[in-house]
Amino acid sequence: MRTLGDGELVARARQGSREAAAELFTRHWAGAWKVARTVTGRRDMADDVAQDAFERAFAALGRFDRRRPFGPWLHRIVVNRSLDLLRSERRLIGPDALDRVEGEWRDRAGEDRELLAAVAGLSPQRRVVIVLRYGIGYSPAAIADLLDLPVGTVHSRLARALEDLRRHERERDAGRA
Amino acid sequence: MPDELEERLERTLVGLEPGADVTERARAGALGALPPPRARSRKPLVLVAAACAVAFVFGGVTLAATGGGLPLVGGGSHHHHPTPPPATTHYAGIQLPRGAVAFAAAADGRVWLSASSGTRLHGARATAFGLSPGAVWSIVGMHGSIDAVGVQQHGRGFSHAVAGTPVAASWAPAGIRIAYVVWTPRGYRLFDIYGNGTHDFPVARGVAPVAPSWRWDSQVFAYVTGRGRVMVHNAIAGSTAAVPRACGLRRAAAVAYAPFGGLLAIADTAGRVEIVDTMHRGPTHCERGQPGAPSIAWVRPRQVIVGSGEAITRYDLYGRFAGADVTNVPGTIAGLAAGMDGRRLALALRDPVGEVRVVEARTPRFSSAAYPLRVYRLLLTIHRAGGPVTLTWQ
Repeated sequence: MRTLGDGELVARARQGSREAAAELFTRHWAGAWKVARTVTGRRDMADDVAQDAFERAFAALGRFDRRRPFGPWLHRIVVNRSLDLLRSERRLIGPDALDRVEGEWRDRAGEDRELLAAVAGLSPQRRVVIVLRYGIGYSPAAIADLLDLPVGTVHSRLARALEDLRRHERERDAGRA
Repeated sequence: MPDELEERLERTLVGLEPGADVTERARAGALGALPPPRARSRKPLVLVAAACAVAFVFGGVTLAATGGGLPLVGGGSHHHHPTPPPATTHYAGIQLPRGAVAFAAAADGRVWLSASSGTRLHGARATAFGLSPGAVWSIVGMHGSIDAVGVQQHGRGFSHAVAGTPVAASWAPAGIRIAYVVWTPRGYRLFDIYGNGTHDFPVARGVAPVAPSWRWDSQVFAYVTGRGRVMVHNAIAGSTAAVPRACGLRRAAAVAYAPFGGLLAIADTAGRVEIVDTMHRGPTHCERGQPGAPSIAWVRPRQVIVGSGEAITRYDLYGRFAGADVTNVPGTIAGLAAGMDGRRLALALRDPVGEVRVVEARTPRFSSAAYPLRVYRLLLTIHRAGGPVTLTWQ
């Protein structure tokens, strides 16, 4: 099963092969969750968003264009679901209380928590390009294709996001000094 | 050439991983969403049917010509091949029931909230949760504190340190007091605090982790002791009195005051229900429902619904319709709440694999015959919630 491409797995899953669908899930679940996690900024929300995106993707396999890659299609669903949820959710408390009440960014000890917190402080649009570029490894052209954006816009969002993060680090370092 | 920041981003973001339990849950959900396999082409069947028709016509003609007959074998059997229901996708966000200002569900240390103001909480961590009258504020229990957090507006009202973990909180109908239960290493303790976070009074030790219930006038509330006795505490006078045991009730598992008057409904896990008048010494009603962890919701001043097991039992206490009826529900009841007008219910229904679906349903009409439950819509799906689900409808 490992040697089959995503397109072939999709075809088999459409015919009812749960093994093929399970293989698709195994290949793409971690990436989808990572995108959801970075865009939403919350582990609990990422769990639901990524699962929901997979359910939507699998339910719509019949409409999937096999000539296109499965991963970007799934990631596009994840990004859209994450942004939809963020738009619909109005934060009711300030960031400090939010961190306490909702347990943001409570992860493994090895993670760079400060950097994650800084990424969480970016606008959702900039978070999206950051995770697709550095978390998934897409090229700017692939991100542009996935998000239906001009490549130039992706480049500028990436540059601005990186500049925001660098500024955040400079301010942090200055505060410590 | 990536710089140091970009390398750190790659390391950090690539290292993010979902939990194993979440992965298994998502795998099951995703595979469950697969559409049924497409049916084979019907073209061969059509050809076979056409061939059969031709053979039948020619055979009939032949039989008619020869004066023969055809024996009938069996009846007109119909083979129904059950097809799986269409895959449904759902998002685990919470919906607001019709007519509600706010609706919340709390289970397993998490809370979901939807308010008409647009406020949403989605699985936020909270060991206890309650809403103020009108859902202006919420009370959020965390390890070591209870916080009043704005629902209709931004901001935090107060944060009050507690020596333990809050497990249940009930806001008085007038908003002036909050009764809450805290778990400590020495057992559960009950407190009563002003609605602005000041003047915290210890009420009792060794209580049960059951949400206290306030009387309509916000002067007294009922709670359950560790031995299952029901007590009524007067928050104004500071006095406490025990509700006499009746109806063979053993360990009370839920208490709920009626929206008006002094009627207090008490239920245990054996299905026994006691409705006692704590104000006017009226008659005590003893009822019997299904065994199971009970949830109580008053739908009218003299009509109360107790959900337990896989049924809700509605008790009408007075009038010509006095009696009880039972409505079966599709799942084990994990929580129950009634809308402000009593015409709609929210039910948390647990299926055999532990998934909880919170649905909005019409309150069944009272009758000697059971009416089927009419479910309007799904409000929330909680994956694998093991404990009770506390529903709050404002």
